[in-house]
Amino acid sequence: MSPHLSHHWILLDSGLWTQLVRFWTFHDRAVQTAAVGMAFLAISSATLGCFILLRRMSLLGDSLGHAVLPGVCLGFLVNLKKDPLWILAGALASAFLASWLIGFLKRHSRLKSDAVMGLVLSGFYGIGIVLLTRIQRIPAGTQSGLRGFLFGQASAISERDLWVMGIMSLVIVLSVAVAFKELVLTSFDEGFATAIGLPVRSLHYLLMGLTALAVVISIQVMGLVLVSAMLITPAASALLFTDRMRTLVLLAVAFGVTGGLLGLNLSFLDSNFATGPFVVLTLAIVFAGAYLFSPRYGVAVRALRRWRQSQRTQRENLLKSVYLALPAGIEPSDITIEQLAGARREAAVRTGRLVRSLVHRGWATLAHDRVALTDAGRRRAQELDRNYRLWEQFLTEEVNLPIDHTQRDAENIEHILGPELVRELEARFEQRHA
Amino acid sequence: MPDSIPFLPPFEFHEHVLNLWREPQFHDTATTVLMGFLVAAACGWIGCYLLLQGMALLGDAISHTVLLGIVLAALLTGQVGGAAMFVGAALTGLITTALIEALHSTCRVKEDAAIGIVFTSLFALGVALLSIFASRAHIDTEHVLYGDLGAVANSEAMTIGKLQVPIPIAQMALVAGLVAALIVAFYKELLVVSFDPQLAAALGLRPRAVRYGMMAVLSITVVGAFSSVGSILVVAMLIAPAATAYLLTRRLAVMFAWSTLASGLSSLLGYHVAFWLDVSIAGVMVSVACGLFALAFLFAPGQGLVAAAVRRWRLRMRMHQENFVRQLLKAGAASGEPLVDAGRLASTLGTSRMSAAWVVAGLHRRGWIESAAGPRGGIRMTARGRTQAERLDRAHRLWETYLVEQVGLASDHVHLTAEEVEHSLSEQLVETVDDALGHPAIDPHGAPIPRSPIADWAPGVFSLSKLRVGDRARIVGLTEFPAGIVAALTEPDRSTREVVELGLTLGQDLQVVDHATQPPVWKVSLADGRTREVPHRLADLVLVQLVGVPPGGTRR
Repeated sequence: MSPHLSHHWILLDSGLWTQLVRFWTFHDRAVQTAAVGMAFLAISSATLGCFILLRRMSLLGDSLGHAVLPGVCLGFLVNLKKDPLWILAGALASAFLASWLIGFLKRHSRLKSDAVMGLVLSGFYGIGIVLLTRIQRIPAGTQSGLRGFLFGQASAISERDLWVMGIMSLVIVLSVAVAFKELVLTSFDEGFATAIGLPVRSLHYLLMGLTALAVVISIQVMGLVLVSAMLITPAASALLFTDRMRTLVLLAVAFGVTGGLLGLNLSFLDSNFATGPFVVLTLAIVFAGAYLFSPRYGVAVRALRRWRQSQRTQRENLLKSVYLALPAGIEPSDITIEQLAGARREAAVRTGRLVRSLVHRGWATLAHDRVALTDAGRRRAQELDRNYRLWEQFLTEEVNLPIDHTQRDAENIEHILGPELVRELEARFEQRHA
Repeated sequence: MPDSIPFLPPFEFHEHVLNLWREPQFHDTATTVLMGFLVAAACGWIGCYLLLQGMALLGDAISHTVLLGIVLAALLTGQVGGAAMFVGAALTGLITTALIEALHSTCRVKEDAAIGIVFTSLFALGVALLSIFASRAHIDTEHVLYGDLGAVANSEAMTIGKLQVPIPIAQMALVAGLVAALIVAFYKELLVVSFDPQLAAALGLRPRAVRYGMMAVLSITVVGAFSSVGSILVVAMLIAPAATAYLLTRRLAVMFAWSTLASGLSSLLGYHVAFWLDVSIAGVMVSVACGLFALAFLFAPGQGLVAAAVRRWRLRMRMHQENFVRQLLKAGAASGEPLVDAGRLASTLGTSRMSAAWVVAGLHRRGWIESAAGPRGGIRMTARGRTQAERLDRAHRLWETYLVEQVGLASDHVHLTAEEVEHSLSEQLVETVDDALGHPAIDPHGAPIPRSPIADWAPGVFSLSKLRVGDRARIVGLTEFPAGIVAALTEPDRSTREVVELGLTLGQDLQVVDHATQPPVWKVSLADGRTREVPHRLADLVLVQLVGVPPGGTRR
């Protein structure tokens, strides 16, 4: 076990609640360091992730993450210890080499870009594994703690690491802030950006370079295998909430930091836990929440909205059929649920449920199994009927559809025709018939 | 561990190569290399399809997520290996594919991001479960990261016939056999799906079902490979041999052969190097596989970087050579003496003396120039060189004329384009341009355009339209349609009659006295003193033999 782990041994012997409190009050030095480091890397990765996501370069983070392994090992070999600066330099060098190689192979062979990235990723990783297993054979390497780089070990970061991480994230955030407009423009419309004279290629390389930087400062905590999740997942979660770039970046950062800290907390529950997998899991849970419940694009929210609309349509259709039964000579108080169900060709239970929802809205009363409309219900029914006829008229007179083709469409639209549209239709027809 | 172990141990051929193939190490070597080969080959075969269908990313994703299936199966059954693991992995593979599809079809996350999210999450879940239930899963995280190919030889063996076969090898052989059998059975279908998904869909092959099937097979392969190479290095096995093969051929069957060869080589070399360095065998295998890709990338015939560079260099050399002889032609015409100093020509060409020397050597070899005798030295064009130079000069000047007269460019804007185009115009195209321009004799700058070296119909026979003012010639034939142009075959009888009505008969001598290009008309005087105006259409049909050209004017 790595000696760094001893920092947070206090956490291990206490109960779950104590552990949570201790973590979230940031009482221990180890927790403080890890949390600040996590915040640094989450801010820089999530910010860049938004641009990477928009440019569909999601595999890039993964490739660069795997590709830093040989650099990390070589950085270690310089003086056979985990010197953060040498390791950073090695990692950066190998990330830059990998991103150059990806571009080079893409230009000079007929391989597609995904294959090129996969190739570079696994090639670098393979070489890295060779170096790593070799290092473990030499005496200085057995205690190297280099394995922590694979899945991440937040407790292994020192204060010196923290300084490096802080400065690098500052560089990343400042660069993005300065070039924000240009980066946004090139991400959305490269052709236009080229046309107005933006240095599209340089911006691309800037983004690649910053991503390499972000990946390099993240590997100690996130692990190089899973580092790409911090780039993509928070940004993708944020994308489900907003269409504005600024909001996207801020939300992504918020998600990244929240998920990161939660995952960090989880990974501190046992000394055997690597940080990366748990952070990725919490990020994934955040994404799943966004995927289901985002007010605008959430799948569950949209399904709920659709369900409500269909309930409303059914309810209003029932209201209309009660209302329209009136001229047929049946007294409103005479309609029973069975009669209604028969007329609508559906189960009485279902009709009963819908009738009760009418009663609930104050549109109808139900006494001794007989349905009667209230004044409000009658007004709404008249409104619906009017909407129906207005739309039918619009379709026959303005769109020139034959009258026998308009019914379905009008039946759908009567429920959603707003007051403004109704007024406009009325005005139109008054003018015409005046 | 003793302190004296160096980072790079010395390599000894006997110890690290030969001894491994002798008893007592033979068994270990053979099983490990065989296992490595089976893993790499099976992955490589599937990889070929992944590569062709642009699904390398999906393969990457599945090779990661299969870990979750393996861990779950191990936790449920309490053992690593066995059928449960294969079922679990195949299910995870299918779930991964379905999740990715669901994600990018139901929300605004694009496919690449969907893949990224799904695979990192499921993989993380696998690793997390592994670390939570570390004691029950019997899988080391090291396994996940780079496998343990060396352990294959020591694993439990089963008896097949008289042979003791380690169980992982038997499993992997079964998987590889399954992959090979499926490929053989569905070769045509997979071919269509890979190269033309629309056609495949139209043929009722259901590319989506094929995709899911492939993902299931891929997952099973990954499980077989998992214990020996881990779940990340599998990605390399999927892509590297297939990509190597992809650079070497454009035929699918040949691609399989190359990928199999690459797999075998990486397994063999990987084992020896790993034994020498005492490192992860899978890691070295992957490095070797990528090294093989690098070799293919550099040296593949046709597509390789080196081949492309050689092609470009040859083209540049040819252009230099051609420019050189044209310069020689110009210089000779200017000074009236075809003897030129090589150094001065290098500077006119704008090349270094070095490459000028190369060019001169090449020209000597091709027999376009020869060293001139005499005290001044220098070089002289041969007859062959002169023909080539005139051909180029003709292409250059005709192209300039074409750009000025037909395209409407200013005459001082055409030189640079013509300088490039002259090297790539075919002879036939030059003649077509010549014909379209009405066979001009001078270019827009007033310089003479060399005659066409192309004979029509028979050697030494040209169409009348290729004659220049002052030429004397004898009519030797009449063709029914103009050289090079097949489309204009209208009423040949009428054209023949018109030629005869002009009084141009076989055996007659004539001399061109005037030639206008707009519209193209040749005024010829016949032997009996009459002059006739021959329009372009007819001039193309009359075949003549040159009798004499005016003094000093092979050009005009």
